[in-house]
Amino acid sequence: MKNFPSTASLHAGSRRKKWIIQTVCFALFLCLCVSMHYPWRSWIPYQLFLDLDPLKSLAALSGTRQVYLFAALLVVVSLVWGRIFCAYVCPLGFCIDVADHGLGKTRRNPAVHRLPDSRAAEVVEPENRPQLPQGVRAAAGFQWVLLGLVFVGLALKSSLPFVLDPIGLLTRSFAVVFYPLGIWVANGLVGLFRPIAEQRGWYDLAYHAYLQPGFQAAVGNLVLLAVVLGLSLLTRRFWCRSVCPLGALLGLLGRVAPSRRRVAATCTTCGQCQVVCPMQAIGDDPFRTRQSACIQCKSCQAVCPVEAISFSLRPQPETRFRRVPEGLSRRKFFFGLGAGSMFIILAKLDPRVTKRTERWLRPPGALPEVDFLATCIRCGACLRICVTHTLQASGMENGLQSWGTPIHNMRAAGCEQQCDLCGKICPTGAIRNLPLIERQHAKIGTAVLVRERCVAWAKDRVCLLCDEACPYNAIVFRPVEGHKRPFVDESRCNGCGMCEAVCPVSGEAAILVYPTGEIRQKEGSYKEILNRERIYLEPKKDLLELPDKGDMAAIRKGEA
Amino acid sequence: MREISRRTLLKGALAACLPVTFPSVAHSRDRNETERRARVVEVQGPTEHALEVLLDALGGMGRFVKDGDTVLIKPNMSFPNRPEQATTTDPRLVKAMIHRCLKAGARRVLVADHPMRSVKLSLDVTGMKDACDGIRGVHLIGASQEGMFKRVALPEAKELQAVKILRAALDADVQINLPRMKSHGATTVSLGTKGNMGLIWDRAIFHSRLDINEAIGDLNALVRADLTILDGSMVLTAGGPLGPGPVEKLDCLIGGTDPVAVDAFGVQRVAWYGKRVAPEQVPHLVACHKRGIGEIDLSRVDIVSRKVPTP
Repeated sequence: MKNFPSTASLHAGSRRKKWIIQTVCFALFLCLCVSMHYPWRSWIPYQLFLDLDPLKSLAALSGTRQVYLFAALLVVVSLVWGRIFCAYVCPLGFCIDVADHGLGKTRRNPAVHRLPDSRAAEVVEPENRPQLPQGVRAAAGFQWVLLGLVFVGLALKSSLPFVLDPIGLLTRSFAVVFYPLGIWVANGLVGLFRPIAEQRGWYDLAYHAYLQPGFQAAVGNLVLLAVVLGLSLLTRRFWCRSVCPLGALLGLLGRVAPSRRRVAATCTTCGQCQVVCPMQAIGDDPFRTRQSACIQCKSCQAVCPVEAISFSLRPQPETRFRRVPEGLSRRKFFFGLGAGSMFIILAKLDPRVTKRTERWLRPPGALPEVDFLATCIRCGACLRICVTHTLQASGMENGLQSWGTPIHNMRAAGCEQQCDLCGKICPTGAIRNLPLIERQHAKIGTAVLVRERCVAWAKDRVCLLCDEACPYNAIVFRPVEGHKRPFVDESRCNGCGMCEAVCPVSGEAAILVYPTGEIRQKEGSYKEILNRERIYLEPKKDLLELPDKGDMAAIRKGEA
Repeated sequence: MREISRRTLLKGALAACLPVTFPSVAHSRDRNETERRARVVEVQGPTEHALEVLLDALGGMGRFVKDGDTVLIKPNMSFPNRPEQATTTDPRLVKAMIHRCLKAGARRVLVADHPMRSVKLSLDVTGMKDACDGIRGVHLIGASQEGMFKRVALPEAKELQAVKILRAALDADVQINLPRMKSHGATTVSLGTKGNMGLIWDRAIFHSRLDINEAIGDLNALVRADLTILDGSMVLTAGGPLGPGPVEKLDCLIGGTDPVAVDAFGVQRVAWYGKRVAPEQVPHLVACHKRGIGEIDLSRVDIVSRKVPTP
């Protein structure tokens, strides 16, 4: 046996290398998430990780027939190196590794000796070998069901299973959970330093502030993320092993990958590799590997006392690869698929979706509702980048089918008419990327005035906030009963909701945007349609009632 | 003879200067006719040149900005609209004014407003960010948080019992108001006195709880610009304050130290909503005038008209 250079230390180095690569990839992911804000910088690949995701590309393909070739790269890599993405690149994988560490799942097993001098071919006693909890064993193969459901969803025009796409899940979690928290902390810090900064004349710091976002569905998303990370309590990387649909897809591709764990006949079946494998990809017989679970992290190679394990593309002499059969019977798979499909179908049949019974407003340029719900993978990037944070992640209150999709909350903020970022950032084209002028004509809905609540109607007050905020002069004032009273001119309203946001009554506004007249289309010009419907978002001259000229003399006299 | 210490002398000199630095004291209601009349200067021509002429006619920049002063410039940059839409101040005017202030010895210039829409977008689209970028001593402030404002109680006020006002406005030695001349749905016009609403936090109550005209009067009693220059290069004559609406090319600046007189002159300069309006028909100007903030009657104001030839 070789004594020098110690392969063990080399492999220890490769483990460190894995952590470094993972950290760099996660840092990159985080930077991209943080950089998703106005102004748009075309050189930033904001959706780099989602573009790599073949599942996302499938959703985009089914909805908009748009092909994202970048994902082919990951497909090719997986065909050669298996699930190497899961070990090194996946940002959720990194988070789960950290969670494993935090939950004490990576604590060194006393049965495993990593120091070269104690590398006797010590056999791990059976009681020290990984004992998978019964639940974990039962869950084996659940990921295949989820992957199957993704395809069922694609066929049924429902992107609901994409809620569990790892990249989308983490992007959305960042948007609705960590981004508001981060801004809250940053604003708090600036506020803390404001008195000092003012005193010192550091005005740029003293008057620096970020718009504080807040999301209705934040808590729900935090719970989901906590569950995903908490699954590690069952066993290490339980999510990656038994739930993740992207991992399942890459594992499926990786079944044919030439890079695989091969074991030489010198193996003493000591079982140390079984202890260290984070994916429990090594069977009860250490010669066997579950290729669809192996993420090629090479932890097993590093601990093998007799160096019997190799991972090269071309097989080493006298090494063998043998499979562990997938732990899922055909019957179980179809049973699970059937049960899961019921969720998808029932969610689709929700009258809030089929009959559109709610006052849902989709972002300008969103595809027709059926296509939108098939294409939006609920990644939350639009929520993150929205300049006013009118876009909110839909929670359970709007039904399962719509969970995680963007919905306007016009009462919280209107839709900024000079901004087209949601369409630009959308990774699947569920919100179309439109030129600004087209996007302004992509009518979101129409404002309706509730006279009983309006202070100008019900209380005869001079209130023109909605008119002041309207970018299209769609609020006109006409004298009624001796008072100036607002009316909505539907021929000029594009449903931006600025009026609803500023309305001074408490609770629900006295002017509400309804999806009436919204324009949703897969292709073609919105401006042409609007003009055909005689809606012109252009200026128009207003007439205003002025106080009588006779008052002038009285005013002068009064002060003289 | 009693000796006067340097300190006493300085104190006395400062006290003597008080009416000059706080002209509102001088403009109290029971002033007599012999007092100096307010002066309003109108200059026709391209903005940068017009500003030079206007400042000369008002006695030079040195009259307003002293060495080491902190100057607050309050343009209108409330919406992400381009300057040619005439709803926000021309960034060229702001830039020229910044340079004049720095040349006059200002230690720092704060360009501040409380945008009604997305701050970043507003500062970008209006061109203010470009105008202020890279000039030393200039801070562009798009206020967006309550912590940037300070509550001030106004026991004397008629409508506005207390107001949260931008801290920078209270810190500044000199306040220069550079509003865009535009129409306004609620107050007919939005000029200098109405523009001061950009310095406060809670504007919504002006429209809902309070009488907006009287509240503007109360506000202006608290913050009175030392110099007001109306940007009349283009005027939004209807559809204000946000637009869109008809834009009239007036090609002039209107300036002076009396904010009410400047506004009064601005009001009658163009037809608003297709009608000629007299200053006395604008209730918030009347409210300001009644509080002794300035002169509304243009017959009691010196009007100076100049013209800069277009190059």
